[in-house]
Amino acid sequence: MNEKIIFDCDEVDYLQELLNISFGSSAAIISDMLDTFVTLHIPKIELVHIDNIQGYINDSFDISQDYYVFAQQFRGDIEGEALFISKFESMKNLSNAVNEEGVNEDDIQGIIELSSELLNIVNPATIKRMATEINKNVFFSQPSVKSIKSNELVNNTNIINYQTIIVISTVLDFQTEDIEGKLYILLKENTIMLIKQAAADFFNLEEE
Amino acid sequence: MRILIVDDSKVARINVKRAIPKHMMEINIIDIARNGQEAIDKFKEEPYDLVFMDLTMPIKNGYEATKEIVALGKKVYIIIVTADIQNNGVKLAMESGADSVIEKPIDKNKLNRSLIEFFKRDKKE
Repeated sequence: MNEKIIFDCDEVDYLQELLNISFGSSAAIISDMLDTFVTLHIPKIELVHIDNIQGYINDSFDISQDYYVFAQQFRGDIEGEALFISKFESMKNLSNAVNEEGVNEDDIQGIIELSSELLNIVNPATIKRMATEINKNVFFSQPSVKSIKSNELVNNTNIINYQTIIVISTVLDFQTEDIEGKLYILLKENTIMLIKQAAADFFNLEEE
Repeated sequence: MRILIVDDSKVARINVKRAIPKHMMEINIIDIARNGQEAIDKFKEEPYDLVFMDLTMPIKNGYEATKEIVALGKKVYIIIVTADIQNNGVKLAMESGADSVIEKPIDKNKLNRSLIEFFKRDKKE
């Protein structure tokens, strides 16, 4: 299907609130795990059609940098993949937040493993909460992490298999460390239609 | 009785309205504000008895707006309605002068408990 899926203002608002609740729940988990306070920022949500994704990526990322992509597929009533994309610096900060003793900058594998531990909780928690809010079930596959140049993001990930990509840009602002990342939620068309239906049901119940 | 619902999300504002017991809806004036600054401006024009306040909002967040509304010295009961359920977040919300905190999505029983406290205090004063 090449038809562009469009979200109207109410549907975007519905999705935004759904994600606010989901991120709030993830932040609480991180806060408990690391005994720190995570300042929540309003996530910026953009819907990008696959035809425009390369241009969007070129505008969003520094072409000279390598990025770490933490990918995790999900299946069930809702289907898709979550990609958390961030620079090495943020992955390092994330590892420092996980390991109080600090990390060795040269230990790239160690940094990946430590940051993955946290992302393996944050990403599923966010998606699971989102699914629960619309009364759907979801299951997660094993995550993978790889280092990719921004101009290879489309070809080296599963982005190409999706029509509409929901990009959520946010900063996990820890008390001590700044961790910036973009969370790409790739959703199958049937899942996008489920979210649109959930929004329609919500607004049909009663107008403000 | 005058009620103000402060949230940048239309969905969240509708959720608060839906959670308020029906009998309260019938006898009250319910206004909305889309950010903390708009809430302060509306409150200054004519105070509200009960404010439902989100925390994460553009222009002015709920912590700052709550502090400024409380500093006006008018009788008001502020219920923070937030997705940010970290312990420290709840502590900060209460320190800003809020009277209670309930998490999103709203649990009607928890809201009712907050409203009972509000009515008790309203009666005393």
